[in-house]
Amino acid sequence: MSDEALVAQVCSGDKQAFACLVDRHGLRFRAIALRTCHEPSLAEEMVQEAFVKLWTRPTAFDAGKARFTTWFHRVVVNRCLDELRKKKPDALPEGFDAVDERPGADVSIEAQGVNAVMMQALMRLSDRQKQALTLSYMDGYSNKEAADIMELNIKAFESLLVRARAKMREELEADKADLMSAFA
Amino acid sequence: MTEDKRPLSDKELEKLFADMSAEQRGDGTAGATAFLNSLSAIPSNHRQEAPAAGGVAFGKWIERLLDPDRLLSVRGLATQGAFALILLVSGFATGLELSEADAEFSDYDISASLFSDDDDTSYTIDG
Repeated sequence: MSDEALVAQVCSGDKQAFACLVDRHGLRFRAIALRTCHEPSLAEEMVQEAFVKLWTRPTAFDAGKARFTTWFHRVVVNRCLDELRKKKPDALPEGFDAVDERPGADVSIEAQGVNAVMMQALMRLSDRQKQALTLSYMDGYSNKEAADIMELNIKAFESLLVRARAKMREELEADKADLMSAFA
Repeated sequence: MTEDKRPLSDKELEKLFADMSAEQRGDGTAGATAFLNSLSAIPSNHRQEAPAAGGVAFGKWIERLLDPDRLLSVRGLATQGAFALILLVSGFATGLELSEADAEFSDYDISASLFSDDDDTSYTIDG
């Protein structure tokens, strides 16, 4: 059964349909929220709030306008961004130089893990490139859905994705040999 | 040993991202199960809001009415044209009817009955 059909059942108070949506998307949206707000407890709280909204006001979703995942992605990410805006830290004193906690180049991939290396490379991309790659590769959206989420037309999204992949390859170039060994 | 100069292929990049995604999702971990359980408990802890049927229906109707795709479609334009024509014709007909009516000033003088013509009361300055 499609997500949209499940939401229609949630509108009539079907708890099973809601549980099915939770099973399908709960962890996926937790990962998305975590990538947005970088704080596990906050990410869980935001996803919890989004699912509470889905249960209490399921009619807010209009199947005629977007797919469920596209709509819910916006709900979760916007909620995270609102929270981050609220939590904006106080300005640091002038001349403050924070300690760079990123691992240096001498730290091996074995020590960091392949995923940490990938994450560091991803963080060096522009926000748009990062979003395009994560929507496409990690969140499992089709190019059309990802383009809708980013409010781009499909052609613009695809060319953004091509540039993002090229930049990612460039960033991973130094660690390529070690990354390739991960496939062995 | 010769160094591999070939860049990462799409498939390899895809695999690396898939591994990272699985780790971030934390599938099968105790934390993930607890989180899913807390989400599944939402219906037991929260009541669904009853939609304000009239308000929602009216809102949706207005939204549909003003949807540019519908408004500028052939059918939408034809409907708007038909309404404009009906309005024009009814305005014209009302105008014709009014011009034909032989109305007297007294027809519109709603206070006429208050001042009868045969009232011979005369007033002086002193009352």
